[in-house]
Amino acid sequence: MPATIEEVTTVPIGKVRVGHAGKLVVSGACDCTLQRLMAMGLLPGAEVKVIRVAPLGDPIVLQTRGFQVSLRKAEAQGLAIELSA
Amino acid sequence: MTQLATQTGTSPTTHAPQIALVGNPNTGKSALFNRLTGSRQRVGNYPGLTIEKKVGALRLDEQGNNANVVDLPGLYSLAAISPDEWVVLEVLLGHVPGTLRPDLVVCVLDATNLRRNLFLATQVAEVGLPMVLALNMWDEAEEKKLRVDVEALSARLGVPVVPTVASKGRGVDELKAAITDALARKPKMQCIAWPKPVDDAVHTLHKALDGQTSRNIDVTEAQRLLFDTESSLADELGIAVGERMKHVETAREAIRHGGYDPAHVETAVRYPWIDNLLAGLTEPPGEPKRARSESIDDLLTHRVFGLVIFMAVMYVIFQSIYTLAGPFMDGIENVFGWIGDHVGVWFENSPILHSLIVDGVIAGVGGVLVFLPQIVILFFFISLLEDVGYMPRAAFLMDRLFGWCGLSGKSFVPMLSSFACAIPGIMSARTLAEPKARLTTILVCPLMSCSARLPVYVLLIGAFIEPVYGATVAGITLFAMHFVGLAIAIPVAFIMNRLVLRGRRTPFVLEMPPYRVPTMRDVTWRVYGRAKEFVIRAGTIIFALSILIWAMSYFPRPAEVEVTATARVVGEVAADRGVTEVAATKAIFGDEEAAKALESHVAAAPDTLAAVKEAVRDGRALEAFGSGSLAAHVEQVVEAAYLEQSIMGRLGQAVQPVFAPAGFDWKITVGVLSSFPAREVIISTLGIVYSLGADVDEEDAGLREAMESSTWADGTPVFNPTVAIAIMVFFALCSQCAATLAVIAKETNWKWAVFSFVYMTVLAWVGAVAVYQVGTAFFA
Repeated sequence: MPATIEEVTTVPIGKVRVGHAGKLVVSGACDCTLQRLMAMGLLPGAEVKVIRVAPLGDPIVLQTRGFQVSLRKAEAQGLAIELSA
Repeated sequence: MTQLATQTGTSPTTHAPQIALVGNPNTGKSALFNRLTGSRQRVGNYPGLTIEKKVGALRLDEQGNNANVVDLPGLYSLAAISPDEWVVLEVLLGHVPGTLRPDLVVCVLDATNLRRNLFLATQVAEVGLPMVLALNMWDEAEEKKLRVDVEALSARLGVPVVPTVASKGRGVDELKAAITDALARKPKMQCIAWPKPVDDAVHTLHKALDGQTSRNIDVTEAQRLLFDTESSLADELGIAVGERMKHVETAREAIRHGGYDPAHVETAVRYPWIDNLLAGLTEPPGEPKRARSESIDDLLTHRVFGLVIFMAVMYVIFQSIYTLAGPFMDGIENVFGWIGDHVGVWFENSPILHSLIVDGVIAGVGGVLVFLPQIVILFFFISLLEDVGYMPRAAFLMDRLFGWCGLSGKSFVPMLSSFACAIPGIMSARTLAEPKARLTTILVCPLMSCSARLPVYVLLIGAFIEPVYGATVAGITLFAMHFVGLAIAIPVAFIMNRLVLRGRRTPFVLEMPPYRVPTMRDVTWRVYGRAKEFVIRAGTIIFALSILIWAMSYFPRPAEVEVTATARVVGEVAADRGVTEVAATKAIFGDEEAAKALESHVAAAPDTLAAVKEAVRDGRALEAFGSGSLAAHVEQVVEAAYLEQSIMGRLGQAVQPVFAPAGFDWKITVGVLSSFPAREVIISTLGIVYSLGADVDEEDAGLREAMESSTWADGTPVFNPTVAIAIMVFFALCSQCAATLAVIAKETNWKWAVFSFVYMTVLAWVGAVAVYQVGTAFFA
């Protein structure tokens, strides 16, 4: 049985296309945005999916366990998603 | 933190029990608050803060024992990022002046999102107050088949847990019973056992900081300073940055040493604890089917349709305020006019009292209530959209447009509403949780061209633009004037945000709650609440200012003025018709008897003009006689004369040099000054000033003519297209609405109301002068 290696790419959250999901990865320092998100229940390592982008390009909406949250790309620079191919 | 807060002083038992309501946003906490307190609610302010303090009375039993309930702002965590968020923790600790420390905390949880909601609950537990948990939205949990073992949860936590459906009123009685019981038994929620390195670090930090500030610090506060990467609590506590950072960093080092990341330790410890707590108590939902909300969102936040629908919704709201409110506002004005006429009869004998009651008091009250239709309509829509859950989507769609100047998408509704009327617009800015964005929005809203400016535009464009440039240009000018304010608002917002309002940027992290069917009861409740607040809080100021302005326009009122003015008109009529003054008087006042009486005076005195004065002073000439047009004309001339020498009139003449660079003469200046309380007053003021009486409207041909033929002392016309535009620009930008200032003062404080007045008036002056100077330079 051939072993399949899953391709894992880490993409900054602002560049993830709608519909793609993966684990949340924190690549920068913990800033207020992340603090807020964690208080809301979105923890590093959690499964998260980008479900929407605003018509003007920003903000985006993430779906995660139990809720949906909107954030600005510029404020989410310390966040990335480890996409599962 | 196995220990409770160090505050041992709970409130003395001689007062009514204090209950605090905490919870995440969108949990129906407000609906629950309404159910618990009913009509016994009040809104106030925390000293020095912009967020509102909502308190109410909960009836505990039939004997009249009540508990005071305070509805604290919804938060996901006690971590205070934005400057106002620390108030929740501080209220719970009893550190906020004017708010007693609660005896009991009711934590409202969303039963469909228990895990996340318990995060805040565990933080609150550590404050050490007795608690009761309300699992709200229980009906939705049942619908989603999220079975929650309430008894087991209660047993594990050690506090009562009550399922409720606030929107339908279910479970409220059980909650009240649990509250009454808890006030007696004081059950405390099970706290998290923190890993030793963390616990030690918190206590070390607490000891290090204690005594460094004006008052003792609580352990929970030390904890917050340690866990939160950016905290406005520190600023609040007044610890010098250097000192604080030193101790905090030391404590954080200690945590790192113990193997934990200080930035993540809180979530890394609380969530597993919560998961452990909930193990076996709930049946997690299976793989969620595509939620109804998501399908709706596909449409409502669609690239194209989302925006279209959004515009449609905004259009409906705007039109309703602009158009629908009209008939009601007219109705209110008519009612008060009717009341004025009828009540006025009682005071006929005392002109001062008559004017005070009719023009001051009744008009003042009417002037407050006339705003109610707009407020009610706007808040009806806003409450509806909020309860449905659309507002976060609207903010999401608009954020890009607003974010760059320091506002957020949430500012859209307040600013749009202000195009109809800034008052409900500013009141609706309360939904903006970030104080900086909120303040900027409030300061910028009055620049939106409200409906009261329209009569001014119509008058000036109709008199001075259309005759010269035609209807098309007139139409374009009208349209353009509406955008002057908006165009200026953008740089103003940018500057305010950068320079004037220092403060932490709050991140735009907005939850998109599931769509819910709104309850009419809650919507009506909120609308009623806002209307009541406006009338009581802002209404008093508006009323007081109306009386003041009335007094300034009325006094002084020496009888001499009336006599002289009447005599002047008589003289003019006599000269005009080539008759004697006596005959003129007859013509004006039309009564044979009166004319005869006058004749006897005239016979006795050779100087006929003096004789007429004598007769008028006698008091018989004016009141008793007919209301022919000449008599009315005399009245209007008299009114104009009174205004000219009143405080307001003299102020106008004194201030006129300030407005000279903008091309305003003293009459325009008086008009401008008298419209500071309310813009549309300029129309009637100009009517009085030009001796046409106060009843003119903006389309009155007589007024237009009077203005067109108005000249300076040297004969040059006062009005031309440039002056007209200068006046319109002034009105577009100036703060001329006492009601708006009153509302700004109530929503923020007096300093900002004054600031708003000053900056807008200066801006308006600069604009008007610029327009006039540039216009005359290029087009003279």
